[in-house]
Amino acid sequence: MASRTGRSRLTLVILVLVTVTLVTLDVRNVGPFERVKSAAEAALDPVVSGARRAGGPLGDAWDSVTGYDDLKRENERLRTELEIERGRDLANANATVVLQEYLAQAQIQYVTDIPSTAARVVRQLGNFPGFTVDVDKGSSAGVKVGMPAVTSAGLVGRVVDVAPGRSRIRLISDPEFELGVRLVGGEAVAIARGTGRGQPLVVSEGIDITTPVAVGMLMTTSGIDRSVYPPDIPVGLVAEVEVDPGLNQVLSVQPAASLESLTFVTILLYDNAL
Amino acid sequence: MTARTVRSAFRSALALFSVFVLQVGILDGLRIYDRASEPLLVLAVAGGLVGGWWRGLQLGFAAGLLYDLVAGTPVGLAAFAYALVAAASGLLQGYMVRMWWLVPPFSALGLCLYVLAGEVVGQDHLFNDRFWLTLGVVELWAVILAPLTLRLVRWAWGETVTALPALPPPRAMEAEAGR
Repeated sequence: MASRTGRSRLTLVILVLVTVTLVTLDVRNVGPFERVKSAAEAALDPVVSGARRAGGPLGDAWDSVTGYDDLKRENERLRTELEIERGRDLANANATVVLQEYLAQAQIQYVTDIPSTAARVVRQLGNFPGFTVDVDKGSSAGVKVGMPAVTSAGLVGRVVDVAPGRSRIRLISDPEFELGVRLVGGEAVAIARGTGRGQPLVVSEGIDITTPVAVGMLMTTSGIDRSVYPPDIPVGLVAEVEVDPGLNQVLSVQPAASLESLTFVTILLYDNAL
Repeated sequence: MTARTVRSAFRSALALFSVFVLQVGILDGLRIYDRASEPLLVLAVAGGLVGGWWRGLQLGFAAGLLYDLVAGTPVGLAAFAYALVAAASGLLQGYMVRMWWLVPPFSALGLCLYVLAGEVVGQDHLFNDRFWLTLGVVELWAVILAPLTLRLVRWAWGETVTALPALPPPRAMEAEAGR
């Protein structure tokens, strides 16, 4: 009995040690471990995509039955929004021209001349979506680790893992995500950090009290030398401004792209500093 | 290594693979309030209940590792939770004849353990305001999946339910008492 208890304890200790080691290696992105993990994911990829393709129609049928009411509500909401937008279009006919002129004046050319590939976001397994999304384009489409992913609204994240037919994108809402940003119309360059799903980004350093900042100002990628992001990709709008004891302005920035409901993204095949 | 061991290992791998494909291909799409079932967790618990703590731990670890690789969570997180809960359920092996009703509570325990372990390693987004809804849906599916999963694991390991010895007839019991 005593030896059985001793063996159980030893097994438990080994289990804890092994899993803690695995989690640590993964979280710290240790090179050799990441390569093994990528290889394992790539090996599973055909199985996963094949199973999803085979089971897709059943899932769609289930969604159409269980989500009918939601779909109806969303349809009504979208119709209402469309009506409002049509009204705004008339009112804002001039505003588009003004915005284009403003962007031209600020020398913003949002990803117009960078080759890109559109990718569909794959639903993540399970009930706990993390700070990454998987998309159905990979190295066979020219995607490499580090490339930025955007929507028409702005920056979504950065490719962190690539297999031939799949890539994983780390979202800008990840608390470990950092990127260089600048305020449109200003020269100040700062670092923005993610703070979690559905939360604004935080810019806590780099913008001193003398820099004029107002709620609603646009922040874009800084595009400084060797940045993995091209310049002038919209990141978000300033939602809140506070001043910390070190007389730096702390900005909350609402991401421009809707990160919670991504269906398609565009991966910019931009390999600066890779 | 005997032929039985090899057959058992092969069937275990096949059972694990089948449940994985089922989860990824079909069950993950059958969502209720955007929450899905966790068949690999149910498999881990069933493994413990049928095969005991040691075999349950091995199956749970493998199932969790597979889940981690596809779900994008840190590798080792689900492996830890699934292995531990499978081992815990394995402690009850042999005490119960009808085991299926033990699967939902152990699945709930596994899910809580997973979220708790996530909090410890900094994955604090795992516990959110929809966690209780997730738990409810996972439980519902665990009730549905438990009998089939237990049967699958028994097939994999060549186990049969051990029938309890029949109770002696009342007269025999009286005679026994009088003696």
